[in-house]
Amino acid sequence: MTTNPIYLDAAASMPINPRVSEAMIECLSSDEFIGNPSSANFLGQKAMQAIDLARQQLADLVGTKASNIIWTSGATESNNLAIIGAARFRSNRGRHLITMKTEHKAVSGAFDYLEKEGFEVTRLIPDETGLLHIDDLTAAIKSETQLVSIMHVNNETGVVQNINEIGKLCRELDVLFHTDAAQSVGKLPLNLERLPVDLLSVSAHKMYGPQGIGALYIRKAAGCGVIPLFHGGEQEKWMRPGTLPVHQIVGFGLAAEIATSSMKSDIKLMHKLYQRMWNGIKNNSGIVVNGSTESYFPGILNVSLPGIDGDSLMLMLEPICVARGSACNSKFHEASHVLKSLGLSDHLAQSAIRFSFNRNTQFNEIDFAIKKYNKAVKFLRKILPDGL
Amino acid sequence: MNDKTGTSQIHGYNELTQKLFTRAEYCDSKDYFEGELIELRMGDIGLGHLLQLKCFIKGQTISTIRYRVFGCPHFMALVEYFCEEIEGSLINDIAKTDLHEMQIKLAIPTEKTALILLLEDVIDEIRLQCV
Repeated sequence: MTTNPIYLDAAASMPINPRVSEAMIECLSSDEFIGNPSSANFLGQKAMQAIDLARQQLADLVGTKASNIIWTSGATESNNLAIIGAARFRSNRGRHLITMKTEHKAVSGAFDYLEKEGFEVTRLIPDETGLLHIDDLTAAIKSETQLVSIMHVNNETGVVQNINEIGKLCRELDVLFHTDAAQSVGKLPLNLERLPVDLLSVSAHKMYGPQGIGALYIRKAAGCGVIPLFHGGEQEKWMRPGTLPVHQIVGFGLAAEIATSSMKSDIKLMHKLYQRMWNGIKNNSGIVVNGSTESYFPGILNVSLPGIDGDSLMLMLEPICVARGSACNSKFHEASHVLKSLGLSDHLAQSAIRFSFNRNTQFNEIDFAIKKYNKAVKFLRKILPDGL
Repeated sequence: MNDKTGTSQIHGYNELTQKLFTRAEYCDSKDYFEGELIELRMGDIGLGHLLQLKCFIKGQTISTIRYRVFGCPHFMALVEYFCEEIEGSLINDIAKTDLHEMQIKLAIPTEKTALILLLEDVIDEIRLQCV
């Protein structure tokens, strides 16, 4: 590792809040929390009290009742439980499901799996800004449709879908609506008492909490439910068996409480960081922002440049930690499925770099990143073959 | 992270690749060199790599070689390494260039063997044009 890394990859994982890690260490080291929260004895119940508090903290953040929240190992599990669980729950009514091509692999993979079980899946394509047109969704819904899953904030582009509009349509047509909100909970205001969302996935480490813990919101209503993926215990109302990790849940709860109080100032800061970054690099000829510049979360800035190889650019940006458009960089020149769904050519999608910010990001770090980015682009363009 | 040779890696690129990919000593700065000029353009931007080469030939020797390139760090480093190896070589000797050794030294993964094959084509093309 090179010296002094600058972390601009917050959409992949946020730095844990020091208050959160302290609370977790306290929980791990205290004799008060050694019990199994499923145990009826005093120490078990003490652990369960800490879990109940965390559940309330998360419920307060998203505007719902604590009883609507179940703990999972992270957003990937939440998405799988929501999508596979709900599709199976409603399979006697119909076997048609709808999602988008720009979803995270934790969602698209669950739909791929369901297709093998015989479900029919429609994958909607967004417009060139990454936004879903409600008319496209309306046209795709048929009498057999049971579930629509559209993510709230896209992890690669930061594009924010209108989940209120999507949810309203689904509710009118008696279709369940799930949203992967891993990138929005704790960052954008959400009130599930008002929003027409039936299932919502959350991740702790995308909101300054620990890795390895997530949650799923399940609305209490007739026809809304999931069939569990795991079996063998009564935890989380039989929906997610397994001993609950008290320290992680305590950390998640505190991260939610902190997010509730700091969200407004966080959003202001994200806008400032985004603008500073964009203003610093926008003069590179041909640079484009990938995704909507109208409906977006300012913690994510994804840009492409013609004539630039993303791998080379990323290596030249060291020690700045950024991400390629695609999370999968293990294969040679595999372009992001999200960016290709927006209509980008392979070549332009290959050049994409995602900068993502968090509340610890400093302006001088942005300035350093701008300098490195511009210098790298200048070099890589200088050595290009003629005509590129 | 260390590779099999014990050197430090970033994003899967070993130290030699990191050193060579931006060194650009053999990069074409449009300078004029004496000798018979052979120009090559190989690769495909759609496949992620494109190479433009200028070889200046004096007698039976590649007196100067310069490149321009688009591609990943492995490709950029490989081209820089390749040019260093063959500049000053006799045309008849360039077929002996050990591209496999370069692949090992740069820790180029097998899924990128297409880059090595491209340089094999470059060698063949230079020899062909010098006949």
